[in-house]
Amino acid sequence: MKKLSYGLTSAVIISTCLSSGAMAEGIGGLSQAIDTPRASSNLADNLAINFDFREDYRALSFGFQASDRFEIGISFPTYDEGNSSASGNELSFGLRFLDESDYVPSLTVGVVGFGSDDRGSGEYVLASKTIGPVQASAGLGWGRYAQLNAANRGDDDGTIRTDHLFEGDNEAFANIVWDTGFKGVIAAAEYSTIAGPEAEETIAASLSYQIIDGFSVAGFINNQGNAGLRLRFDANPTKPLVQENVGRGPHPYVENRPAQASQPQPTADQVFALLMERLEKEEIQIDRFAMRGDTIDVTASSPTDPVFARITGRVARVLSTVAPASITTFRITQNTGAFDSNVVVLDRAGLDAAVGKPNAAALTWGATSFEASPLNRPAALGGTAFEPRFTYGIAPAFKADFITSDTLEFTGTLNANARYTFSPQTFVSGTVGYRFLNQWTQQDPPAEPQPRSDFTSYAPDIAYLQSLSVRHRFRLAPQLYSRVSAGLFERAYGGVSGEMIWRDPEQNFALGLEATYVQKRAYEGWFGFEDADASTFIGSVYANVGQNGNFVVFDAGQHVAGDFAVGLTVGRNYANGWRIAASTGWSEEKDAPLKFGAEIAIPLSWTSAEGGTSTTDLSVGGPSGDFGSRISGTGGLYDELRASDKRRIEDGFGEFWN
Amino acid sequence: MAGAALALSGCLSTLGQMRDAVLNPDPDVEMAVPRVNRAAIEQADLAAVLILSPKIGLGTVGVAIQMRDDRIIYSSNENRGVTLAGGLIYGTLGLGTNLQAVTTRADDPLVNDTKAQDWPSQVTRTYHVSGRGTSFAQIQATCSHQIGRTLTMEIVEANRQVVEVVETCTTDAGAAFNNVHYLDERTGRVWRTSQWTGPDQENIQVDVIEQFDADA
Repeated sequence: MKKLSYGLTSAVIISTCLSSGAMAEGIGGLSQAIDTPRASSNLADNLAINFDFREDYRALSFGFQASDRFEIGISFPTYDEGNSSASGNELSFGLRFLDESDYVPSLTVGVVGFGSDDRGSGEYVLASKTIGPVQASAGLGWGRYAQLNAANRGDDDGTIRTDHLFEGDNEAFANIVWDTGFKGVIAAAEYSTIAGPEAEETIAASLSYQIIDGFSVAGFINNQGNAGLRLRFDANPTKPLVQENVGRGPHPYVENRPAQASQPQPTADQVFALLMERLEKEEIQIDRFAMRGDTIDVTASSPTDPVFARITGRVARVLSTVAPASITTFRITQNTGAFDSNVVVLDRAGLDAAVGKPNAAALTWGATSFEASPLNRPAALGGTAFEPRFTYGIAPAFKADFITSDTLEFTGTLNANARYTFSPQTFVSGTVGYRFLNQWTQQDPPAEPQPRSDFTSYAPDIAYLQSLSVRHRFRLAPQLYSRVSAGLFERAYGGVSGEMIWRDPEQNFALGLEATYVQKRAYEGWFGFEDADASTFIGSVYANVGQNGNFVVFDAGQHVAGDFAVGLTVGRNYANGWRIAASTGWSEEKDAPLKFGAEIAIPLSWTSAEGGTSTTDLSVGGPSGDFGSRISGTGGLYDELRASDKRRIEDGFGEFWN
Repeated sequence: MAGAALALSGCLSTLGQMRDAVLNPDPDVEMAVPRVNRAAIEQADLAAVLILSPKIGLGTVGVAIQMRDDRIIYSSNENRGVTLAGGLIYGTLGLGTNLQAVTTRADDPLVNDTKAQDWPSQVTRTYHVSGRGTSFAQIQATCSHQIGRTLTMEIVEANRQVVEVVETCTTDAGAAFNNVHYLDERTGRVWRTSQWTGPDQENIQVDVIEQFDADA
């Protein structure tokens, strides 16, 4: 019995279950002074998570600097309206179209709550100038920046309107933000001509204090009798909290000398032994080794390094010193666990020409090609027979209903996971959950089972069987990846599922198809079923677009409620394991406004010099309710294959020689 | 960055402050300096350097293992090390956040042993650090220098007659840093140097235990 091979990973899920109309304060996750906008940081990949809390309002918001000019925000505000509350789900954009110079301010245009129809929506044009530690901004605003309760703007019936943008009354605003340079203290003041309940104009001030790197708290007060707190988390996936190269350095690279080919050459056994010995110190494992003709073929992996380009580089460095002079090609196979996915083919002469050069990574990329791993490969060294194993672990998960609940309905669940792995391709796994912190109330089952809206009937206060299923992965062809799964996939559904993905390692897209038949699980007990079933048929396109791990996933097909629905996820994978994505969906059966969600994965290696491939995951919002929903827990193949995307490996290629 | 905001006033006390700030940047970081067996190095006829990374508190001894494009690669037992182009730190491995390369003018006085009084008034260098994708990020820095004391300095148990040179540098993004070099008074060859090697790793100090001699 082995313990916890997959580590302790915490997951935070924040539910946004109600699809009511939006109503909001705040600025939708974009850069802000207090309530008015300011110029963004200009640092691409900056991520901010804000939690605003005021007496009659709270909001969770995400801001992401997609480029040095373009900022995206997603926010989930909730406004207390006395006996009830109203919730929003806003998508916002900010674009700097003129850079700041010595005498000219930067100019930014922003749209907050795009497609939203209530008080959260608004537009602004902003001029901003930085002088030393002070940033001063002034602008003109529409919608929420001109009225206390901006209404009837944007989407109200499932159709996104744009004719209201920058239309109607407008008001001026100005703010100033001063980075004091003292223990992360930032002071801000702002003025707007928007009238409030106690004054014709609004003046506000705030003070922010950085508690530790990345975490700050701010308090604010204004002349309208309002005060509040804001908690903020800042991060940049490309700027780790730790120095990146503090561990053992890579093995020195030695250029090939063909003249030595006439001398006695090492055998495959000798090369393999040396390779294993040297890479073991770098925590790189060689699962398969073959030396034939002018080629060495190895399968390499690391339990601590999430950057496959760096693993590849370290293997190549050692091979350069131990491989016979006659070897001209290094083939390094990437294994995902279940599959040999890519073969990264390195031209040895190209590496010789690249090492140590100021553009070494670009030259190396030019000497690299990708192939699909063949289905059957000849016998090789290494590759010891797989031994079946049992692993287990405990992982906490936290969930809060931000939108519909005044108390947040915070829950903490302890998930006990166990897995018996028969082979790299096949395993059975199960999860038993227990809510050690539970503010949810289990509802009585409905008269008729519902696709998703009966989820509160699945929340017992006793231990429950979350899932128990068997999964088998296999390839039908070098580029055709397949899966079959059966069992209890999630708390509400169990059945059978099959999936296929076609992907060519040289291409920047893949195509997938999943077919699932499920029965609704019993509300009580571990193994029973309700008299209701569902079938889903969902086709997917997974595309890497642009550069640096940007991706788009488009899903379409029949979903759980029998409805035709489409889903769209847009995001960015980082070579170090960070993942930031936003998603939305549309169903033919639903005419509510589009709902937006966000997913963030933060790798352990970003915060710890010891490294590691596990991540802390955060997801919020997204499509919810009965329509546009699919079965979870079937074991989507792309989650396993995404690290093999060529663009993602390219994104990490700057680390090849590290 | 320690000492980065200090401006050169031309007086020696300011130069001394900058030097001290560069060579002793953060007293809070405990520095583990390995004991160097100079006699053994000399007996083995090895070219070797003592490398200190003050930002992570790590010291190591690197031995010359390779020459590539006229640059000498010094590496320790743990494969940490520096690549030196003359006295210029061209690259680093395992000392914080790796420096991939530094490109500079052909007559950079750090690359070519140059007596202090013969240094050009300004040198511009480009630092290449890995970022996202296949192109390294480039940081350009322009440095001017000031000549300081001439003194006898013990460098890894050997006394050297050296001249102090302090470089004040500004990157194209406006960041500032200082390099401190101790050059052989006679030849201009570097015996001790503390050079900026990137925005995260900052200054790395190299003490030359035994110089590399291509003719040896």
